Amino acid sequence: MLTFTRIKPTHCLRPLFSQCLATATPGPSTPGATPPSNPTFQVFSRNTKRLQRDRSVLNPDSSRRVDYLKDAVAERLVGRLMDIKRSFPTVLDLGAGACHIAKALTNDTLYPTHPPEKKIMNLICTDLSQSLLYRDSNLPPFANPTSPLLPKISRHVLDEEDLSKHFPESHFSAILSSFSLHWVNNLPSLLSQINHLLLPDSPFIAAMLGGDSLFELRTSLQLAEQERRGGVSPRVSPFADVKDMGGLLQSAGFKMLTVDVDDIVITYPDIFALMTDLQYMGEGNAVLGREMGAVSRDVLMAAEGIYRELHGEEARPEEMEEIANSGMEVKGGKVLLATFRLIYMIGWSEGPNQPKPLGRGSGEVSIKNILEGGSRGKN
Amino acid sequence: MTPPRIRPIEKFAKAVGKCTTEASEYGKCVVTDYNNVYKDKCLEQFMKLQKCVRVRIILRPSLITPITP
Repeated sequence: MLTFTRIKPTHCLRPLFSQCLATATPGPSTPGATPPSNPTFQVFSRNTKRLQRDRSVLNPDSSRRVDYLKDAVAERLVGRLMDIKRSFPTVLDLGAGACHIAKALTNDTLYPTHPPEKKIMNLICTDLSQSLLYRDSNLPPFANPTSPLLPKISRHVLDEEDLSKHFPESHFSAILSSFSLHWVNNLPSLLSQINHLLLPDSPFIAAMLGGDSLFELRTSLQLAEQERRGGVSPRVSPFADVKDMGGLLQSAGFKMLTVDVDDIVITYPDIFALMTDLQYMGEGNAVLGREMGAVSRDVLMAAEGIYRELHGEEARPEEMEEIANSGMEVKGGKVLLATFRLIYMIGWSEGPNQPKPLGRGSGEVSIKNILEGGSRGKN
Repeated sequence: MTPPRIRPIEKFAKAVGKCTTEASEYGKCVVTDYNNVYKDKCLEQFMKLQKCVRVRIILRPSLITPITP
């Protein structure tokens, strides 16, 4: 987005996106996980993503200011974890950022039981970027005084794309991931690796950006580039769709799937505030085929006008006040809306006493009879 | 004491924020019939916007590309 990166991606140079797609690299063949039969396409540059996350914490205060989204997602994820009535000895948090899930675990309003009990004993936080992972390690709730609800935390810097290199098989009693999987190139392979790391009958709970996330920004930048330069470049990364996730989880071997979506709509005073926040979140553009360097100023001011016209909304008094308090101003009485569509998914590794769907044709009750007011049982 | 460094993009964002009328006119022009957007469809409105931003910016003018009509 607004990053001033001048790093050549390892796989291809701009603007040869088509060539980039053509140079398929074989997927990681890992022991334990079933090696994917098809070669995978590299869409994102993991190296750029690591650099973006490293840079996002160069200014720790700004980085903490934009935690609002990651914290909200982590809290909703933890809420889903609380629905499972058991405690977890060893849990992995993939793409933890600054351990947002651990932070959410210390929020005692999320616990259904009173007094709140410790749900997770040991939590392993992993992330691509060391500086982001250790950003808050000296601050509460991680440093003294620690909350009694906080699990024992260890931090590992690793690339989640080759996860199974780092941990033994059947090791974790749950795997969580919040706000990270949308930067993974080979999602089918990762899901299958995750399934192998889980103990039998253990949950994998994840939240990732997907579907129509940031469609406002995407369309505004596309229209602006089309009008100013006569062509478009990938500015907002492609996202996995909700309806694909069920199939992906199933083909990775997960059972008892739940997939749901949740839209978080956030208002911003202008397009620059949105893009600056994304940058400080470390969520800048890391698509391999992107145009290197910053978006030109012409396109930016054009996109601002288009965004305001298409997705601007009259500011409510409380929004006016909040924006004024943060030292910015509402322009033309309008605020801009940005949609973040979170896909939450839960899948279980196969276990001995799990409920299973009955075989096809084994039904004994006719739905037709029930819907027509008949009785249950065979006629 | 030196004042905190202001990122150039912040200066630019402030300047654009002062030109809401022009930005809105340009936006309206692009958004009407947005399935048929072509290069320089709204050149006239854009030049007004650009002029407004340029006047309000204390920035190297070279960062905004000149338009040859």
